[in-house]
Amino acid sequence: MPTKPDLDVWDSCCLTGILNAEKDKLPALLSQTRRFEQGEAILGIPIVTISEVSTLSDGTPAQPMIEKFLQNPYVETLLGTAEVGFLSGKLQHRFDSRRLPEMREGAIKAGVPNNQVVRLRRADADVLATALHYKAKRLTTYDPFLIFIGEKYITPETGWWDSLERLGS
Amino acid sequence: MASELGEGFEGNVEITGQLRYRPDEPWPYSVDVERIRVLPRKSDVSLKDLVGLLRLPEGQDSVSYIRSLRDAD
Repeated sequence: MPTKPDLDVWDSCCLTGILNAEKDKLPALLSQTRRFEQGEAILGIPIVTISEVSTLSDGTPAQPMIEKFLQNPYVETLLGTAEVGFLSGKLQHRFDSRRLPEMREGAIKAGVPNNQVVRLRRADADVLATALHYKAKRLTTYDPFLIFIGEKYITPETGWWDSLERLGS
Repeated sequence: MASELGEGFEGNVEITGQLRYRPDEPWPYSVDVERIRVLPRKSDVSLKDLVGLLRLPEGQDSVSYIRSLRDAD
């Protein structure tokens, strides 16, 4: 009986890291290709991330290449629905150090830059909400604040998500 | 249905029509199909083809680049 493939959601830094040929990210990210091509997992790309790179190094627009890449059968473009918007708003409200001062302290201790720990920004929340809404198995990001929030708060115990295994890379 | 889909069978198709969802489920459970478009089995562009197409300024990586965009919001 066929099994449903896992949904792996990638934050913008993953595709951007590949485009920028970053040595610390390429091996781990490219090694996922086999899983995707063999149907073990679907690569979910939140729609909010698609436009965060607009121009390639040769001056041409990035979108035609990205659009062609998104046509791979293992890629699912994840739309921002009303539910994603509501959830994103809730996440932004929740992860704001004015309401959650201990989050700021914990994030700084975990090495998140000072200026980033004030609150979860809209685009970050959109990506996280998309992964949660579409019940992704994994959200891959290299962003230290998202990794911190994922490890500390997005757990079965906190009730945000009962199927998340791990947030981060 | 399978013969109508032809090359799209067990591949990827784009379906247009009215989708039905169950509460708390992100994916539709049924659809009244108006149109089916068979999508290519493989794109011309793989992940490997994307490597090196962008050159961020010296000292900036993908994380700091995306951070600068999002913090400017």
